[in-house]
Amino acid sequence: MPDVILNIQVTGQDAVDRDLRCLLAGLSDRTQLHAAIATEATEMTREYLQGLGRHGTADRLGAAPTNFRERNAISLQPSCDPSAAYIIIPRNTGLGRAFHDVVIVPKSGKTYLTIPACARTYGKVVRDFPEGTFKFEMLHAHRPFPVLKFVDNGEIGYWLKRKVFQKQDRTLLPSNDAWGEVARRTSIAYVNNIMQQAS
Amino acid sequence: MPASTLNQITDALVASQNRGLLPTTLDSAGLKELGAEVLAKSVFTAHGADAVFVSGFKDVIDQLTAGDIGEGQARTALWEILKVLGYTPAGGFPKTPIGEVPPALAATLQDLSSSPRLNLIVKTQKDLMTGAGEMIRGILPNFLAMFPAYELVRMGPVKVARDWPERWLISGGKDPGAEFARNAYQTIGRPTGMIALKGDPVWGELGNSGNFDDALDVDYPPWGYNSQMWWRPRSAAYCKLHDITGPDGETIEEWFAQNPQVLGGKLPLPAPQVSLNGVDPAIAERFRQATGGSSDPSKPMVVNYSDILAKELANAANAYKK
Repeated sequence: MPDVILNIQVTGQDAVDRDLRCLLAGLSDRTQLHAAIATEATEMTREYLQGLGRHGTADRLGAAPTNFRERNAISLQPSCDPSAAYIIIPRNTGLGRAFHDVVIVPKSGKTYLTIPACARTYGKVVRDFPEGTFKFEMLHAHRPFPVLKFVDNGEIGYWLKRKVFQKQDRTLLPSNDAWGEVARRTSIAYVNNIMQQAS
Repeated sequence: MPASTLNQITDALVASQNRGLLPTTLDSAGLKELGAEVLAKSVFTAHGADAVFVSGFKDVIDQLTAGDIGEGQARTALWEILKVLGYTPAGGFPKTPIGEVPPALAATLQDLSSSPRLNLIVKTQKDLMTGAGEMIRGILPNFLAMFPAYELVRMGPVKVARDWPERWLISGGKDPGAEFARNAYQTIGRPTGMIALKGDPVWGELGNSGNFDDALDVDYPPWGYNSQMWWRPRSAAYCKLHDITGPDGETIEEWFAQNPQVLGGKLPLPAPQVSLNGVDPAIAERFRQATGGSSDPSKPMVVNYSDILAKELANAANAYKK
């Protein structure tokens, strides 16, 4: 089938031309648009983390929550360049688990990780207690479990583990759709702003 | 898609790295005497007299702000440095001259190696560097153009909240009015109406220890020890909706035109001036004369002390020359 060439001419559209010129100028460098999207998306993610309210371990142990995720919300940082908007999520927020499984192993030459086993130890490390508070014991069930017990009442204070595996949990951060919606809303507001400045 | 030019270093790390070391035997009150300018550029902690400790302290905080270690690891690292250096609550650092630092009770806030003190140090340093990083980013041209103001909001829970609306007014902030509930600041993330343009002196006054005993002498969050208040960027449209202006009624455009340092990515030093808007003009004039200030005829209600400051600086410079 032969190509059909169409010539389209738009006339009498001066106002539209002016608006289009403003729009093109406003979108030629998108860094500012991306700054707006990154900031709004970061704020939304912070709100999400503050509203997460997941304190399963603290509830199970009858301890006061440490609010670790809520406190780390301020560490998120918006960033942008001409090609994209970004939310920078520092590693120590533990939010990488939203995207992949996590394996935690002891650092600084230590043998075990200490996992709090009761309300008294939740949110604390062994060093937070006076020397001599705990004694090491090996419990035997279907396999041996090393633990730290309180000397005073024999309560298990910490489970000792050589490695902890945490499965990926995408709900630790907002969904891709939620972030997309923020980007869409912010882009519309940005374009409207350009058009208002033009008129 | 074009290759990203994103710099992955966090702004908090940039703020942390730009500091020098300040080993000192001073306590918190003595540190405040040094002045905010010195403290903002230094790494220090009250009674942290050992240069090796302060150097290690800075490394740990740099790693924390870079996201490489968590708060728990930072506390442990600091504790280990103290242990290696031979620090004891009763005797301090072995190299500290006797009598320079009073003995501390073990496990109290005065004990550098106690959990409460290490918690306070790590948390305050992390929050301060995060706040400083946000301020650095907030005045970059693209972020400034899109979000010219901040709103004071709660970011975390506290057992007993300080009266931030009162502090806001004492600091020269505008009354949010009836549109915002006075206790909104007690709820995490809720808009409070305590909004001011970037570079407004109110942000510095909120963190001024001359106004509030628990202030950290900074013009960015968290402003005070153990504070969970933060700021949230606000757009020009939001500012217009809530009629937000500069300290003397300037429009957003006027405010940033008068403060080119802000636009250029450098915040101005707080202006040595007092606004007497709303005060009887006769009383304002008597105040100006009594305090030796000057005022611009176009803004008779603003008393400026730049001349006095310039004279005092010149006197101080001459005194040093002698």
